Amino acid sequence: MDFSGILEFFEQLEASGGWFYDFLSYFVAVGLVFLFIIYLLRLWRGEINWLGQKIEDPNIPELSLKEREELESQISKLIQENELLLKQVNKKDRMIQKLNKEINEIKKLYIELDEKYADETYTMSQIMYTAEEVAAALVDEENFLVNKDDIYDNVLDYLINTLRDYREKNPRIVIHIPHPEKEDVLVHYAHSGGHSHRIKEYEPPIYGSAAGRAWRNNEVYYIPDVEDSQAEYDRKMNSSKQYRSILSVPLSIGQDKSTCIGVLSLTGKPVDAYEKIEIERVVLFSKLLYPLILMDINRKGVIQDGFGSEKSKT
Amino acid sequence: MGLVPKKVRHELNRLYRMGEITKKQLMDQMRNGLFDHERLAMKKKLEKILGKEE
Repeated sequence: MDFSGILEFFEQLEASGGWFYDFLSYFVAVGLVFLFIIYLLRLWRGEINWLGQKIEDPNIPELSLKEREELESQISKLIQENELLLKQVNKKDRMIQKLNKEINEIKKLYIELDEKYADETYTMSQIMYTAEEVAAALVDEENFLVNKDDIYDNVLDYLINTLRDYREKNPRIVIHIPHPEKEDVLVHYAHSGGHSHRIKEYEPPIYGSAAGRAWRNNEVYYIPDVEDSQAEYDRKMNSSKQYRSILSVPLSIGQDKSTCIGVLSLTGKPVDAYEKIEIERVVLFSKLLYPLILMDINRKGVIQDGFGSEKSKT
Repeated sequence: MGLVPKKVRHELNRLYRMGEITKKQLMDQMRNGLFDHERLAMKKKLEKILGKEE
């Protein structure tokens, strides 16, 4: 279509009622008004001058191509450094988390250690009271003879106090010494609270009981479970099933069998009731009680010709 | 702080057996500070450090 064709087209539009030119004139007028408003707005903002020319920011200096390249390279360097720093921050953050975890573990360990330390200092107090009461009994023999049961009750209570979980373990102690007349059994000497009166009647055999084995071998004998068929244990003794563990400690001085004057036995309700530290405490208390029992046995003349009967230990 | 009299100790033993005092109460009252001052001093020191951190 050439120019004459376009003119002909407009003539045809004019001839068809003249609405097109009216529409065109309004359209152009509205467009001009908009342009003018935009011009005024930009002028008001200071983006252009009266002539419509763009105004440059005086604060921004014009840069040469070289300077621009340098700036761009610095920016990319800064971006790289920023990424590196972010990585380092993340790494440090992970380290802090790890250290916090370690600190918490150390805190837990400290609490555990402190509890054990507290237990040890408390045990020391019980040892001190036992030593004091044993010494008092040795000094005042008359009072000891009158109040023997009470004295042993309290002294054995100090030992029981050093054991953990009293309510669950229900620890009970009995001390046996050589029988004055029979060679094949031991006889009751003292016991802690909680036993029935029948405990005095029980005579553990030298062969076939935990106390007998400890006596024979002059060695600590611990049975974690009395139902273990391999254990040397007098099963008649546990007819009422009050305990599952038993620990028998010889009352002696070191490895010398001839110094053995009896056996201290401790029972515990659950299987494997006693930890190593508790067993060691029982051994310690057996040493503390030794002078008192020895004094009493010598006084009674239960053991003739020195300490334990050699016949029963062979 | 110091040694607990014999009568008090026996009473504490009895109360503990009867379940009228806890193990902690028995421990604290029996010990009465004996042998425990170094542990407490160390505990105090650590708590101070932890307190500063927090």
